[in-house]
Amino acid sequence: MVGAYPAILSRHPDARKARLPLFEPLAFGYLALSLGGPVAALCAAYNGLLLRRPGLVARAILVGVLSALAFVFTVALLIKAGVENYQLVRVVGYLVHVLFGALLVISQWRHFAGHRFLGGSAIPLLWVVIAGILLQLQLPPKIALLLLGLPL
Amino acid sequence: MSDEEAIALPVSGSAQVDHLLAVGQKEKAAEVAARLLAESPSDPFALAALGRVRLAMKDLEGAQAAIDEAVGLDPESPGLHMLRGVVSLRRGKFAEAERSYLKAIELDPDHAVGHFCYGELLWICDRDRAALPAVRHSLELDPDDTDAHQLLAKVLLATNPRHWDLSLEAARRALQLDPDDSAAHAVHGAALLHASQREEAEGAFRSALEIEPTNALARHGLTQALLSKAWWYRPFFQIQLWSSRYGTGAVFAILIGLWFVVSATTATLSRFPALSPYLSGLTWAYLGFCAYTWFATPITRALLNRQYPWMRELP
Repeated sequence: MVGAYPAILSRHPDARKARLPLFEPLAFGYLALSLGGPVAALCAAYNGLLLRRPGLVARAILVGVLSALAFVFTVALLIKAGVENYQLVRVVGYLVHVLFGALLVISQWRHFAGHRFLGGSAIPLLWVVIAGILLQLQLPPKIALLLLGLPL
Repeated sequence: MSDEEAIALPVSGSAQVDHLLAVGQKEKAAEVAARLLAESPSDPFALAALGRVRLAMKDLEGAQAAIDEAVGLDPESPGLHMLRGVVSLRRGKFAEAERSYLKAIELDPDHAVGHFCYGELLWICDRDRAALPAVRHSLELDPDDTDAHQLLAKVLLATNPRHWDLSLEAARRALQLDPDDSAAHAVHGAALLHASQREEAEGAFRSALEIEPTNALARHGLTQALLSKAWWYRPFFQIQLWSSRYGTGAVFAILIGLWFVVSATTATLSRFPALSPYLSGLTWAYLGFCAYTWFATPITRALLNRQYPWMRELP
């Protein structure tokens, strides 16, 4: 029986409990869809700060910056390729943000689970989703585009 | 301590500590542990007793220090490594806990509790598939362990929810072994809920709460069972059951996937004015579905709270 179980948790992060409620990781996906990757990354950085994990903060900032760059790059590429349907360009651009949001979800999933394991609290996902949608509807188009990464 | 209690106490000092902790007399257990340690300061089992007392008193740092010292004095004791694993797990040090449990199993491969604890650790860390062999092995070594049957039922639900009958069988076995165990009733209820046997599930959760009113799984399960009574909530309940087969993010993935399909379809076909009513219908249908998945639970709860005022106390 010795050696029957390989050690598989050696890279599993230790649990840390934040003093304030954290965003649920899925919130980053919804926020990336409604307000863009940089805003989702900002919330992810908040989680990282409260968990006292500099690596998480750095990763969140990197993902936020990359999501904005990738959005600009994709939009430019599509327009250069002759796509004139701007609605479609916008959809593909948002999809890029969602993909980066998914990266944030994955990077924080286990850390958040550890926080919950130690009895930490969370900001209800529904509140974040509704806030994201309301903000998206209320923001002037220029600001919304700026949040997505287009410096207009 | 009364004479009756003194008579009931086991002879061994370490067992006395366990007995006192089991009956909730932490202060007296601390006194006995301190006495044991004063009598033999380098006895690893006296240190382990102190560690157990500190663990019960939620002094996790202190418990870790005592157990580490005990393991240093007797590194070949599987029981001490087990205890170290338990303390590490309570502190959220998952990798450390794994090392300790694996060491305990290496020292005593027939340690049923070791296999069980390792399976439980993997289950907590969302490694359900890896947990299954450990739980099964613990049951091979001790087929009458109700906790292991409960864990098996939970792991089976997570790894193979389509075959909920296997999970139900394990839950029923756990209940047979200990009909007074609140957790066994709760796990039985969860398996019944997955089998869409809502009435029976509700009964099981109620039984669990009669025994232990604060049982978290039973409270959550009872809420789900009551919510699923409402016809408008039932489709969402089925979506939740279905998505539980693919992980917590499944509903999110569905919503995002549908968003992309709807948005791309609308964007592509928007140049055909004749399709306009259908496209806006598609968009509204999508928004309705999103709103349904987001608001089905809070709205149904609010309505049920009026019907069952005691439901407000459920989480």
